[in-house]
Amino acid sequence: MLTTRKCTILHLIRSHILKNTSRSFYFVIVGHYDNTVIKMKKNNHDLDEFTAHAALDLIDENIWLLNNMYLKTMDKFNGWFVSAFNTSAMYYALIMLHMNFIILHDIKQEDGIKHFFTDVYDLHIKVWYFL
Amino acid sequence: MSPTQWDLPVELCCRPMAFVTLTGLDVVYNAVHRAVWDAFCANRRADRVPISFKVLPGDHEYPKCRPKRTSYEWYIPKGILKTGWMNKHLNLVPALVVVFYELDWDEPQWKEKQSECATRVEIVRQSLQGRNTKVAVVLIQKKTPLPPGEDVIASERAAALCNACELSGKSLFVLPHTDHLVGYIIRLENAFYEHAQTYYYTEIRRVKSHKEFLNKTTHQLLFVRHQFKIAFFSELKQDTQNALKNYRTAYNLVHELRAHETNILEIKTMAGFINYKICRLCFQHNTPLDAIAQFRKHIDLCKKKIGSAELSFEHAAWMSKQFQAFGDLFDEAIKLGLTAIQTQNPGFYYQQAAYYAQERKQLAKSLCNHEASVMYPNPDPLETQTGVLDFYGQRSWRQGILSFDLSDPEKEKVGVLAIQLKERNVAHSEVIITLLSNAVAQFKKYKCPRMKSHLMVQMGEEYYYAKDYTKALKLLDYVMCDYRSEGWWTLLTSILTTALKCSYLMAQLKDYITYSLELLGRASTLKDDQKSRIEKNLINVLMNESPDPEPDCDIFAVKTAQKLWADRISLAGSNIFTIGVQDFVPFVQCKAKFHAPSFHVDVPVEFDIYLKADCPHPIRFSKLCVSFNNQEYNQFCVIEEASKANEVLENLTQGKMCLVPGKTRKLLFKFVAKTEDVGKKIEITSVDLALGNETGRCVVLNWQGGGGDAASSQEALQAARSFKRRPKLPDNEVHWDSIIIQASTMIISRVPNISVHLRHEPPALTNEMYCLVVTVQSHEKTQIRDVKLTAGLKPGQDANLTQKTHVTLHGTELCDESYPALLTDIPVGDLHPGEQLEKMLYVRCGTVGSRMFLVYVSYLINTTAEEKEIVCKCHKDETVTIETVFPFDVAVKFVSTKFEHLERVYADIPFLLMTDLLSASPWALTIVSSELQLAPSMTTVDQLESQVDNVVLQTGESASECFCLRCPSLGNVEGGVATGHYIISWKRTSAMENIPVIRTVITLPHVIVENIPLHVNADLPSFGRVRESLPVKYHLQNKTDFVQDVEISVEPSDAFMFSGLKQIRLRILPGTEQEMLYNFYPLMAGYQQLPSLNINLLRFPNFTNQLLRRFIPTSIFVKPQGRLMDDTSIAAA
Repeated sequence: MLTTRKCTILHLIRSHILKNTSRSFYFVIVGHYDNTVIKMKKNNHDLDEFTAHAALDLIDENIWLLNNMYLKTMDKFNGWFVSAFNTSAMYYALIMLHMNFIILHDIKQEDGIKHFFTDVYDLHIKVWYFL
Repeated sequence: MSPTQWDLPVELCCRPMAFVTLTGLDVVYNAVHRAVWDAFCANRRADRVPISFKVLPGDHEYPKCRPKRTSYEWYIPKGILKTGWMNKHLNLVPALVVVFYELDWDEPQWKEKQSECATRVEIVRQSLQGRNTKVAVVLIQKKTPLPPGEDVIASERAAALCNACELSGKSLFVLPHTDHLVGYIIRLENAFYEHAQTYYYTEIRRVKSHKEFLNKTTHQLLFVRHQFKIAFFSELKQDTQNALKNYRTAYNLVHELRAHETNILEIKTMAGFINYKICRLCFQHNTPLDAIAQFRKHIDLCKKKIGSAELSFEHAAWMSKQFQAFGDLFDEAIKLGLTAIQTQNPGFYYQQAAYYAQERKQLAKSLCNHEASVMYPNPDPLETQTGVLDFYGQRSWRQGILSFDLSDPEKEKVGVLAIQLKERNVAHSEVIITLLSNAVAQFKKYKCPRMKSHLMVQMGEEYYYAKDYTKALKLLDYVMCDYRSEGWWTLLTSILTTALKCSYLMAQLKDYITYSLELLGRASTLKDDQKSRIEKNLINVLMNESPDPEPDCDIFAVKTAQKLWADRISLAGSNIFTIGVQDFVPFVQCKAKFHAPSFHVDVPVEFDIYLKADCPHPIRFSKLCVSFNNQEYNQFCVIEEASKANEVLENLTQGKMCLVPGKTRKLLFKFVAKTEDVGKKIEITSVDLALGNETGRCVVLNWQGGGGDAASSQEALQAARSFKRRPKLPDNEVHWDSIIIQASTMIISRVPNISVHLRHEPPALTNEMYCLVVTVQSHEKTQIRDVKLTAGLKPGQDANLTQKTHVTLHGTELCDESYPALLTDIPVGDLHPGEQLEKMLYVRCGTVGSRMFLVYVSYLINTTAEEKEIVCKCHKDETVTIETVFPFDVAVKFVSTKFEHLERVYADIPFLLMTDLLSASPWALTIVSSELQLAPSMTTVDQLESQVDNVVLQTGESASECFCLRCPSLGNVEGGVATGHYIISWKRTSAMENIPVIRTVITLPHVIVENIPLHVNADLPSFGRVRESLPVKYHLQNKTDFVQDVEISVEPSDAFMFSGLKQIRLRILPGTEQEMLYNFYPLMAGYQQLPSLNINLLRFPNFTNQLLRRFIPTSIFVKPQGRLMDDTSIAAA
């Protein structure tokens, strides 16, 4: 069951992802309680969700060490690159906005992923405020 | 586990140490030799030199040295590294052979002994023909040697012995068998170590010297071999830096070899060995990053070198081993003090090893699926003559063949078949599980809980494949909660699906049902057709039938499982399972909600149980019961329907026992609370929903409290945050998300129908018996019984108030400390409808301030609720805040007899005490009487009679009294002298006759008493008359114990003429009095100043006229001459 807000984010993200990446990927937005908020995938199976979930370990540890939201490619697993983006680095106080974006991708592409994350974050904020 | 083909050889993994053999020691029968050997090998700590010792007989045959090759021109190597080479140099070919020989310098038969020793050395040399191995001789001596140079015989004989044995002086040692054996041994072994290093150095030189004969085309393998040997010798020499350098070169050379399907295994094997050595040395040098970089490079270079497709599982096995070995090295380094981090720890390598092991299993499964009829080839192509391979990594059926063409394809085929058949017998799951559990242990250590969970899932699945379902379930169960609590439903579903298979295959009823319940629930991401299948199976199980097998299960396992299920069905026994749902997400959701947060005891308690099923088909339940904290209510809240097992699927849409998917079912319950529970909380402790029935199988879903399962708290949170507008539903339906669980309610007493009024006249006055009239009137329709009154100070206020407040029903007597602050449960009888009663209460407040008073009326009444006769206890309370004030203010002051204010009084001189009583009460007060109780130090001058008896004071009015007192001399009293008490007896003017009078005691202030040396008082009339003589007598009293010299003078005044001594100097004896008589003759009328008397005491200069003026009058009223007098004087004239 998706709320309107989720649907909108999903729609925006879908159009973005399709524009930006063509290879297989697995993208997930993880909420404050480590729950999945939104997930999208292309050409993969459950194992990748396990990988994304396990990546939270690293986010948990690294979030206090880094000042930027983009956590770069943190992990490489089974041929997947794991990149993450944590919104709380900027908004400690706004717990509602605390989200982790995790993407598994098969080509190493730091800049592209960073742009993608920034775009998603932008959309996320807009959707949050204007819907 | 026994070592497999893929395990690295022991001689590769150990730390190479210089090999030294000791001969000539009889460690079995000779105690001295035994002690020497023990000193060499026992307790070798890290600070001892790295040598591995071995005791061998003197005539031991060492491996023969092959004749030296003079030319490499026609030599074609058959492989890279011989399997025996490392072991040969670690354990067989010594760097140094030590010959022990018992010989003292003063040996009488020296010649014979010397030649025997020389023979022994010769035997050893013979055996080592062609090798560079050093020989050393140690003479075991009984005597302590003299310092070098002093023993002439010793040095001569030593030289002779060296000569005879063809030894250099450096190779002859003496070991005195004395107390300091260990010290000598340590010195010896250091010397041995030097010899060994020289040996390995020459060996390295020897190998290096071969290089120039090699050419790149035919001797590629030798390049690698020699480089490896140099590195290995360097390691034996403990020159790890050079060893590392040479291994690196060797590693590069290995990859320069021409790889082909036939030699790829050999190349990989050697690359793996060298890589292992490099990583090991890097860790040893504390450069873990180099080790990791080398390992990554190694993996990158080798991972594509799969080799023969038919044997690709071998590549996976090899890869797995590489990762595992690196993980082991990493872990070992950590144990020695290296610090690892979350992103770089051995766990990842074990995990990767496990991944390749899984791949190996997959490949083996697809490549080795030969039919059972395929026999293992005979003769075994994997057997060799010696039982071992000549070179590492070669195929046993074509050892030493370097050609890239397969010379004998038939032989090749048989060999491959043999390997494949052998692979089939490998316990892959066991390997995978071991690796995964290693990884799990590491991730646990480096705080990666989710990674750990992920690997545990894999372990669980592997156990499932290995048909160890119990272990699989244990692991899966363990991680399920993590995924469930974080809400990763896809993952949970995937785990549950495996778990369901396990429980099916073991015919574990309860687990099977639990997993089914959750897979049907809203947390499951299964498709509807799968859910339908599971629901059908669940219903079958509930009807005591076997479920259909789960898809993709092993056929043989399914057969066994079907038998197990059949046994389960025939087996009688407990078929009721209670499943607590708080830890998972079942397909039925439940919420309990009381209609109100509290209920009056005379109305029935009502609550709803909402149920919702998430399964694809409607389901019927057989029983619903609700449990409360007071179990007596449980019986009222049960819904049960006697339905037979086969009816479960019938009449689905009828009746309230049926749950339609997606629809919320509301069930209303009602019961009358017990009157004992008034003021208590009624709580739903659990809701039990039974599926199936007791004749078949019955599952009881048990919700703790008012419902909710593992996912509901998160859902509630999301629902609360969501702005989504919910679609409108028909009136009788509700949105599931909008139902908020309310699992408890309060039972409160019936609403009272009486009125309680209080009548009183505030404020209360301190200590008075304050009257509070309570009026209770019943408005009930029936008689009320057992009316009880509780009145007094409201509990919970300041504790001091309780001490200073007393309540009584009897106003005629004053109450004291023994009276309580609160009167409880005063029975006042019954009241008929409309009847009214009045009760007087008297409150005595000892201190001022405000107090809250409580009047609480309780009664019993018979009433009905839901056609049930109940006796209700009702109560009504009133509180009132009453201010207590002082009834009056009392002011006290001391004045002189001239009404002048006194700071202090003078001993023996009368003064006045004035009291002033100012009414502060808003109500009129009657002062019944007043009394002055003097302290013993005070005496009264005249009688102490009350002057204010029966005076009525209105607000603001005051009553004053005046008493003349005297204080005898007491000497100097610190802080003054107590005066006494002033007691006022009073009551309200409005109070009734029988109300007691209140005595208020006021403590009078202390007064400072001062002694004066001389007291003067004057006797003079109260007034004078113009031109009439006015006799004045001054009394001068000496109050001291001394004779006083007094100077007295009288100053003239305009208004008077006078006669008497104008100036005099006299003496007054102690305690006596002197009188001075004057006749004043007033000249003017009016208030006139008297001629002032000045007294000067020579002894007391402080005694001033100022002080004097306090005692004697300074003025007098002079009346004019009377008319009558006037007439008589005229007449006289």
